[in-house]
Amino acid sequence: MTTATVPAHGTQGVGEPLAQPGRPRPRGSFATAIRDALHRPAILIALGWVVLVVVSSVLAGVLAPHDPLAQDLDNRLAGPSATYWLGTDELGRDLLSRILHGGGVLLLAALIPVVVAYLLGVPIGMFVGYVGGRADALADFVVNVLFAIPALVVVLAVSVVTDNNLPFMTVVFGVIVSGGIFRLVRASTQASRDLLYVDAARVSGVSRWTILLRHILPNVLGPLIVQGFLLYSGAFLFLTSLSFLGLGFDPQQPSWGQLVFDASAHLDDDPWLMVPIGLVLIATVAALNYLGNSLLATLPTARRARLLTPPRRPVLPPEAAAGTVPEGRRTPAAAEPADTDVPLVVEDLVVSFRTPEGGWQPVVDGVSFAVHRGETLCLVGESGCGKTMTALATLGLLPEGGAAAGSVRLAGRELLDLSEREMAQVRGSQIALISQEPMGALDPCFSVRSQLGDVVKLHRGGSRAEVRRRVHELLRLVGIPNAESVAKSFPHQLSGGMAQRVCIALALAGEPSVLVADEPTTALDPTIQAEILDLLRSLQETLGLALVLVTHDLGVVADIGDVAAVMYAGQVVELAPVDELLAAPRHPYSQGLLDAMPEDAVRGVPLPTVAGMVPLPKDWPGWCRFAARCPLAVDACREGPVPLLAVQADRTSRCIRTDELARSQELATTGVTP
Amino acid sequence: MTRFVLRRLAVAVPLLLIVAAISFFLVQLVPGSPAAAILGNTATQEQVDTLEQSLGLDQPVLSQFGQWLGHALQGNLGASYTTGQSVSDALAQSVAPTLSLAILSTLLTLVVGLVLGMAAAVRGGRTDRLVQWTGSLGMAIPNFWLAALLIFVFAIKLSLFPAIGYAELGTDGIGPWISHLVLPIIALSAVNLGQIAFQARAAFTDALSRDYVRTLHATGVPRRRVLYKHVLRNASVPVVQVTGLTFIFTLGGVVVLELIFTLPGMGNLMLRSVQNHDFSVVQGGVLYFSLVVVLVNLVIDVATAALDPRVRVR
Ligand code: SF4
Repeated sequence: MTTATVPAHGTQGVGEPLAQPGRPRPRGSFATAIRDALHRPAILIALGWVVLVVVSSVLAGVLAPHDPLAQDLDNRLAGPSATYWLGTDELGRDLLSRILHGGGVLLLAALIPVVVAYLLGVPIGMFVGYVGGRADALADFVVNVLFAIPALVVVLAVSVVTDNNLPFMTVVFGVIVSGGIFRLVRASTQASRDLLYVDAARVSGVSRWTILLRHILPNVLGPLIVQGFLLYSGAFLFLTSLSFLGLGFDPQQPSWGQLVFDASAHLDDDPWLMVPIGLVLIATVAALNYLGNSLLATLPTARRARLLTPPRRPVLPPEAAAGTVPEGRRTPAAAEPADTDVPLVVEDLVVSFRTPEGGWQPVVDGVSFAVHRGETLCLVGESGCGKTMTALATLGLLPEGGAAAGSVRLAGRELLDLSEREMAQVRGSQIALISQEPMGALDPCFSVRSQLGDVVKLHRGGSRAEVRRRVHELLRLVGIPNAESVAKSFPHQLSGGMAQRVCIALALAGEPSVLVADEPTTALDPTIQAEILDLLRSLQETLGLALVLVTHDLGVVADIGDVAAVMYAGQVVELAPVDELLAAPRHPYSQGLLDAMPEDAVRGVPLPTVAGMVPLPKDWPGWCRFAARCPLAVDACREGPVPLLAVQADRTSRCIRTDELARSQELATTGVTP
Repeated sequence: MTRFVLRRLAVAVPLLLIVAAISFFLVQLVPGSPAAAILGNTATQEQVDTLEQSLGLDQPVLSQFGQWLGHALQGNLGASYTTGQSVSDALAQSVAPTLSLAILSTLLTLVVGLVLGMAAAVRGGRTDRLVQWTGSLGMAIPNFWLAALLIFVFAIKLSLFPAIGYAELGTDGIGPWISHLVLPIIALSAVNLGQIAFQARAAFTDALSRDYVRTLHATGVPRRRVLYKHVLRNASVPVVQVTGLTFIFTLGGVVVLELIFTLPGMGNLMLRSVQNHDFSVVQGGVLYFSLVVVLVNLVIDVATAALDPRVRVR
């Protein structure tokens, strides 16, 4: 077997509006990004300046109009003139020539620390990151020592010891700053080491150094180049400081720091001296930093959406609010607005996200459903179908860039019209959320008691003792017997199941009538999943909650659901009572999901075994969105959008061939299996 | 928490020992004898020998180190080769301006940097660009040049602050003390401010995208409380940590600025000793500066542990 490599391409999340963290990036995109960057004017200016500085320093001997050391005592501290373009210093020496001559050594010497830091940091970081263990601990300690060394002070000491030997001083500086490069390389190596392909390479017996060089180095290269650049600019500034202090550089020859020092002696009688050298220094450092930071920006970072609600809730413009489904094709939810038995009614909900081009891309497209008291409605579908966005829209908690239109009525009150402040009062007290990742859902800096207590206090007030009592009560309500000790814990001390119970307690603290649970068990162990589902069911029964449960798992639906809304590509494709849906689905997608479910319905086993993929919102066709994957598709399916059609009194399906489907099911059950 | 502090101390002690060893052996690298360097080219071999003897430089290196360390632990860093003054006394006298400058500047950059970073991350758009541009500019201005500019504008032209010198907090009172420090602090803080603001911006952006923000919102906690109580606390942890890392560069800046503002601090003492080849003071100075770094990092470790319970177990 040759070295197996897992392609890093094509793993981008389906239908996610923003990149997911931790995904390997396709190789070569760093180079592409750099090529793109080269077309931006600011980059070209910065690059141009750096090149200009370097070239004019190299050619200083030719370009300088005067000898930088030649004194013209009659023209001391003279302003700019035809002879002396930038004026002269206290000894009548030409400022321009001194500036031209004063940068070369600095720019060159600043390379030394970078090289030293690379030579030390890269190999040691790679080795230590790869082997780990004791070597790692030792290297870490050494780096800690380096980080405790005040660089300038030590270099001062080195200067006295080595009699102002600049190369030596820069080498020492390089050693001191190598810790940063080391940590970077070590971290990347550790990360790459765990990637699949390195393991595969290791198994196939490739030597350790080959692995490091061939597989890990390319991954670190981008950040490393960026870091080197920033390090160079730092070293340059450091060396000008030294030159300012009169260290390391030949006092007879001009150098930029020393020019500032000379100028600072004449602040009161010739402040002009400060100006040219200051501008040169600032422009050079700014250009270097800007280039470094632009390089940094080319590196792939996991940019995640902000979850803090904006002070004003975004409103979809009318043309986007209609979604893509033509008017009059929708089915209204079958409930009276003020019906107290139907606390949550969602009608024609459209959720769109701002595109980089400035338009709006719908991800939820005209979804309607209603949830009764004491009922569990499941939103089912593969990821990328818009289930989670539908759920979040009901609470007004869409991520940054998202906006909703249509209607979400809670106990008859239209939520989409509320201001953020009014909405904040509804959240928690009338409708609450349980999210997917219980560990991340709790603020790591605060104890369970503090977080739960805050919410209790917010909703019902009371003395400290009362709040405390209520916190313990809530914790016991969600099945935590040792409420006292759990209340004292911090989130990182809790197990996943325990954390999810705490999250449920948080959601219940304001005594809401509607609970929205977004994949509440997906992140948990199968045994814990069952416990949490049981808890949710019993809570729902005792508290009479309306529960909206988002899941991709038909096992969960079978277990806890009363009504299921199967979602596909931003739309509800089938809405049916759960037992009827499971017995006889009336949409080919539901059928596909069901077929993919293992016979003995093990919960927690994902079901993406329907052939093909959910189309991205931008690829939604103008006809049945499932057509590309549908075994029953005919030409008629591709003639226009398919509306939700009633198949029975309480069932609807977005399919024109439900009869065909029913017939094929009948054939299958009458036992005429081939 | 107590255990955490003890554990950190346990790491700090060997760290200090190693730094002490480095600062001692650094001087041993001097080509030839320090005595010769002190006395200059004109000294005779005899003079050099006598000086070596009186300085104890004729003994084996390791026993010199043992002696020096033993004395150092008692707070005795020997006598200055040039002035004969006790090194620890000289350092103790000059520690106040240095620490005032370094610590005030660090606190200032931390607070202002957090505010700027938060504004940039939360408000985005124009605020974000403004913060990024000012931050980049601040990072590009060499502190010594900025210092000269500040002296020119605020001391020479406007006479708002003294250009140079230092006033003791104890004897001269807080007014003169602060007014002598204002310009140095601004000059010192500009570079770090940009850096901290960028770090804070990244930290806030990260904290704002965490799931707990959504959980808090979903339970009805209002936006402001989510931001000022939860996001702020989470985001300040990495920012405080970075402040610790940049502190060593802050100290470097202090040395430079002490020279311009003629502050009678450890930086100036070091610079003078470097020029006079006064090895014992240089040695003691490196040790003192490192001590400051280690102590500041200890404080920062404790601060982050107080902010974030997860740090306590590490
Ligand atoms: S409308 Fe046609 S393509 Fe769409 S699900 Fe029904 S049969 Fe399949």
